[in-house]
Amino acid sequence: SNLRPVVFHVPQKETALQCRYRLMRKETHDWNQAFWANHNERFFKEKEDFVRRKLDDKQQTVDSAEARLSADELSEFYKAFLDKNYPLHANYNREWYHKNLRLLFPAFQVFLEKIYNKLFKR
Amino acid sequence: MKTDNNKLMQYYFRLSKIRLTGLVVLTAMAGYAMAPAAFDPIGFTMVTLGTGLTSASANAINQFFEVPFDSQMNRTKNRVLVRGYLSPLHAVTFAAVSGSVGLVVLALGANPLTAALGAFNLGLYTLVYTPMKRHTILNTWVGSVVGAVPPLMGWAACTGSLDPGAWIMAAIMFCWQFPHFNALSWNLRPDYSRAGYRMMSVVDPNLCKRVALRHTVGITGLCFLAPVAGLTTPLFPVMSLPLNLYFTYLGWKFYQQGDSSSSRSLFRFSLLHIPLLILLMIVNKPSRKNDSKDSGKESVTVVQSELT
Repeated sequence: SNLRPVVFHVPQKETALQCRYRLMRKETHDWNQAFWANHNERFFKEKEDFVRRKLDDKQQTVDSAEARLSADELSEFYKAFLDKNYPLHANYNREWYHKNLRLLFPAFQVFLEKIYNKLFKR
Repeated sequence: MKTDNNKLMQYYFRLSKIRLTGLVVLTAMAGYAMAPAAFDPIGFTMVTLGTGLTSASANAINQFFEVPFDSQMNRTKNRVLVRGYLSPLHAVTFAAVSGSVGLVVLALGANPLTAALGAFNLGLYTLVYTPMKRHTILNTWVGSVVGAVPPLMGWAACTGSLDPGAWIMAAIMFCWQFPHFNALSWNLRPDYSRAGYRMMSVVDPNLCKRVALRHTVGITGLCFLAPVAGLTTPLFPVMSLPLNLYFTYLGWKFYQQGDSSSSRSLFRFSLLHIPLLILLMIVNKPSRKNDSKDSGKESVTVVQSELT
C-alpha cells in the first residue's frame, strides 16, 4: 500500500496513556493500510484491463512490440478512475482529517506525562 | 521511532519545503525592492524573516495533512512525516511556533497590514488550498493567489499600503503559477489519479494546456501595464519582451504537443523566467526624486490623503 510499515515499539514500562495512544495510532495505521492496499490494487487491475481492451480495439496483443498506449490514451483511464473514485476519496478524506487531528491530543498528553515523569519521578 | 536530534535542522528544512520557502521569500523581497519608499534594512530583514517563518509553518501544516497522499506519490514519498523522522505532534508544534513567531515579526517588524496578509495567506494555503486539492480543480486558482501574495507582503512592509504597482506584480506572479504548475503536473498524472488529487492535467487536459498558454500571454501583457501602474519605466516591457515571448513560445509548444518533453521544457524555463523577470523589474525601477527616508514617506501620505 506504499505506506511505510511501522512496528509500534512497546516500551518496557508503558503507561496506560502511552498504551492507549499506541493502540490509537495502530488502529489508524491499519485503517490506512487497508484502504490504500485495496485502492492501489484496484487501480493497477483496472489500468491493466483498460490497456488490454484498448489494445484489443487496436488489434494488438499485450505482448507485441508496439503494444503500448500513448500518454494521451492512458489519460482517459486516469480521468475515469479519478472521477469514479471521487465519492470514495471524499469519505476517506473526511475520516483521515478526523483521525489525524484526534491523534494529536493523546500525543500531547503522552508528551506531558513524559516530562512530568522525568521531573518528578526519580 | 525516536527522533534523531542531530538531524533536527535538516528535518525542519525539509518540513518547511525550504526551496519553495526560499522562492517565496525571494518574491517578497522583490516586492519590497520595487516598492516606492526608502529601503529600511530592519524592515527588509523583518519581512524576509517573517515571511520565511510563515511559509515554513504553512508547508509544515500541509505536510501534516497530506501524509498518506504524499506516501502514495513518487515525488513526495520521502517527506519527513511519511518516513517518520518527526512525529506529527512535533511537526504541528513546529508549525505553530514558526507561524506565530513569523506573524509577530511581520506585525512588529514591518506593519499590521503585512502581518494580516501573511495570516491570510497562511490560512488560504493550509485551510483552503490543501483540502481543495482533493475536491476540485479550482484548487490551482486558489494556489495561484497564494503565490501572488508574498510580493504584496514585501511591498506593504515597505510603504505600508498596496499601490497599483504592487497589484501588477501580484498579477504577474498569479499568472506565472499556471504555466509553472500545469507543466509540472502534466507528467504526474498517473500519481495524481491514483492518489486522488483533482488536477486539471488529469480532469481536463485540454483546459490544462489552454490555461497555461493563456497565462503566458497574460504575463506578456501585464508587463506592458507595468509602466502605466508606475511599477517600472517604459523600458521594462521592451527588455522583458524576448523573455516573455520565449515563455509564450514554450507555452504554445506545450499546448500543441502536450507531451512530457514540452511540459518539462515549459516547467524548467518557468524556474528561470521569474527570477530573470524580477531582475529586469528591479533594474527598471523608476527613480523617484524624493526617494529619501522622510520625504519618500511624506509623498506617500500626501497621495493617500488626497485619495481619501
